[in-house]
Amino acid sequence: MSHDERPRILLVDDDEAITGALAAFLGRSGFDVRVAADGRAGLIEVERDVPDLIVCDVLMPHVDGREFVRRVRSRQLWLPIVLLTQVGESWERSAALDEGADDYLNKPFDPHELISRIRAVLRRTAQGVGSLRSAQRLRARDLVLDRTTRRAWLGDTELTLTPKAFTLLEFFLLHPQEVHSRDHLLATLWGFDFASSSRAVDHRIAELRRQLGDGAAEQPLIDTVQGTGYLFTAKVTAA
Amino acid sequence: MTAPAPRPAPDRAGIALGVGAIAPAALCSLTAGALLLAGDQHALAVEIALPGAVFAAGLILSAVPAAALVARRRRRRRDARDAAAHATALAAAVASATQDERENHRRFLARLDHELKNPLTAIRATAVAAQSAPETPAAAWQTIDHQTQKLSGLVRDLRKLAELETRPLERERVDVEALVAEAIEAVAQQHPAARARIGFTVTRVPWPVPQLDADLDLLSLAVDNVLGNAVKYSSSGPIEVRLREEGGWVVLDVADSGRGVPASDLPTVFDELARAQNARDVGGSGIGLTLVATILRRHGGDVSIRSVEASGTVVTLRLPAHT
Repeated sequence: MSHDERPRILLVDDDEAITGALAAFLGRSGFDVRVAADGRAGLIEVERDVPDLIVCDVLMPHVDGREFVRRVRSRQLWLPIVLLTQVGESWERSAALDEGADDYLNKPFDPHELISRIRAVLRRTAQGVGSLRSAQRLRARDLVLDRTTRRAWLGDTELTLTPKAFTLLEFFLLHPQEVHSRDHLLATLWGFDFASSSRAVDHRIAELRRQLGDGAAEQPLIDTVQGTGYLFTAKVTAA
Repeated sequence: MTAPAPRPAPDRAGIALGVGAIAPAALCSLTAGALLLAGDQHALAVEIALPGAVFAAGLILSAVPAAALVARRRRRRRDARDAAAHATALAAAVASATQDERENHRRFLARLDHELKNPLTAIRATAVAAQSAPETPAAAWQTIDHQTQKLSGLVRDLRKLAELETRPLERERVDVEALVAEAIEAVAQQHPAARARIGFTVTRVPWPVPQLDADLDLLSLAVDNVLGNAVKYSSSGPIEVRLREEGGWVVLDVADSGRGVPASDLPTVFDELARAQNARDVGGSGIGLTLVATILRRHGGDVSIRSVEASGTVVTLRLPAHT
């Protein structure tokens, strides 16, 4: 890979102890890293040169992470953004995703986990799936999901889903044709690794399969990947 | 806890009034009876001027409401005294609860301090040693990484607890028997050696254990924790899991014949970060039973523990059958 092909990352965080160590680590992991000390400086950096991906803290002076994401999106820039959240509350996480972040990671996090999230998000963006993020309605075969009203239909029939099952289905539709480990799905459902076992994921998968009629289907929407996790099989488009 | 109400002091004035009210009537009745029996023929004729009679009648008519008025004022004064006493008792109860709360908080901070001290000491010692060494040995970085992971785990656990207190419950129909069977299967997969030791009995006659409206994930978490403890703290001997309906409650016992909890540690066993003296050799965060207690409380139920050191432990979860 030539030097020019190194993905360019903008790291936005007000804590120098974090940006110093993380920038060096990301640099050694094959990324071209620039650092901004808060959201305002981040916006200036984005204006100057749009990176391939932004990693951004939430709690910052001047312009915080959420506001930063809103302002980047309001400039019609759809580059992927990974938010570093402070509080593990799932509503904060879903609020972050609703405001246009592509993924999130709770502090304190394992730096290797950040690298794997960055690579996954870049891969999705390269496949053009990233644009699903801005869509209000998603469609996969005859399944339609409305992200604003949090309702879903299979053909003409509306599905009755628990809030967690809906969150899981939404996550699958935003990350289709990608294998997700039970642990990652668990963190998605709860905001962090909540339960002591990933049985909670299996319960929601069972609920989704019942509602989607996957048991009798020739081509089930949700596939089990033995020993790894689950995969949403169908192609997803904005509806 | 409420203290028994103090015995009211004897009402001396009331007694005197009672005696004063009864004595003349009784005395005069006795005298009149005696005079009648003695055949006394005397008659008493009283002559009174009309203004005097009207005045006397006025006095007598006023005396009745005046007496009632006095009685009412006395009653009011007594009620006010009672209310003041009640308010004082209430204030004392609130103060005692606040003090308990402060005491809990103080104990929690002490435990948190203890949990933070060790990893931080290790990190500082490693960092200082590495600074004076010609080059940092790889083992030093591993120590620092390991200790920060420990700290991260602590932060994550405390966040879980905080989240559990406030997160809205997502209730659905839950078949408790199936939930417990799944939990047993999961713990047996994690600890294959324990599988043969776990027995599960369910009372189905005369009626089955009713289904509950509960948060499935949270209840699973609570049952997983209690079962996990039973396996962790008993290396041999049977583990009995017993599910039944009892007086409108769904009751689950998890009993083991393990090392038990020392009597001195039993009162704090549900406190966050608390770990029994004899549990230090087994890995754990000290928040498991706090999570369990919080989950049960949020479902309107409760958890209790009975334990004898070196004999075993039984943890009982109770949930209201009709929520």
